Amino acid sequence: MSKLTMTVVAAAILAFPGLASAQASASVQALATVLAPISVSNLQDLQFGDVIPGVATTIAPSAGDAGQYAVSGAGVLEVTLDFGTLPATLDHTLSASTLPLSFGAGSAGVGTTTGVVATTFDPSSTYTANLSGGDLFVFIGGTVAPDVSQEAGDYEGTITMTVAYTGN
Amino acid sequence: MIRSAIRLVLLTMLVGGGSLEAQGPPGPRPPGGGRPLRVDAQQALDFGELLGGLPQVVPANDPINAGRMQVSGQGGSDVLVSFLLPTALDGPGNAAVPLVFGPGAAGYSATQDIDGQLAFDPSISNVFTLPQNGRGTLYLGGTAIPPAQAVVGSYAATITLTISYVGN
Repeated sequence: MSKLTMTVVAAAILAFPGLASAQASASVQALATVLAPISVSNLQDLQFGDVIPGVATTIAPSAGDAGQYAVSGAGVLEVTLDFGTLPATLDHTLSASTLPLSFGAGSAGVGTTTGVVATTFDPSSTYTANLSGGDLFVFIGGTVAPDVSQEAGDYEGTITMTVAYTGN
Repeated sequence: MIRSAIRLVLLTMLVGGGSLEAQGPPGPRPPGGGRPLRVDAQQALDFGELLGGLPQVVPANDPINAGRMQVSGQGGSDVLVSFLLPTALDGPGNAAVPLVFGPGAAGYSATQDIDGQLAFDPSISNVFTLPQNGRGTLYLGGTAIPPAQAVVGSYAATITLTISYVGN
């Protein structure tokens, strides 16, 4: 009697093989890594020093008195360097006098080591460069042309550089 | 006498296989026949390195970064495909990177041809017909939109695909 019952049950199960697996699901991950934001800091001002009326003074970007910025970001990503509208004059600190200032095709430079210019460029145009180990150093020189009757005293101005990732 | 009676009954049951199935009310045969459905996760959706403020798009036909899942079942059957999509990637602390899946962010191919996929909106359930070999591939892209001040670090989320037979 018991043997007959077991045979019937086994046959019934085999007759319905498709009851399982009418639905299926699986998952995949979505992944990303957010990199460090880019930053820029002023390492050194552009110093023309003592200038003589009527005598133009030029500071090359590789000179020790050149202005220097430090850019910090992620890896070897590409960035743009934009000086915007460069100042055309330095302003007397105590009067309304101004000292003409200009920048040439090689007045700016970049390098991967502080104090060392690898490549020069024209600061009047946006420049693209790659970080190296997350770092880049930018240098700025220029030329002041005091008039023969230039008022004595201290003159100063501001040069602003904007840095941004390109996404490359 | 008794022994002979038992043997006769056993023979009858084995020959009349159809009558065994009829013993209880038969369950509905699953659409598409008896082959079980299956989903295999093959590749994560990888947005790679993100920069704060810069959206990153992964198209569904990106062979390296698009998510990929293979579905299999009864050849020629219609299957309902549904994605459970995250709204953001989760990162360090409570940091999140929002995700967007547009109308063409997903694709289906019956021939494993990533460039020949049929684009569709993964936020809506869709019905596809499995080819005769019973295998199809689903691809998923998307857009990650890191905030301008996104927290640095690794981010992840889970995408789940569910498929089921529909009546053919």
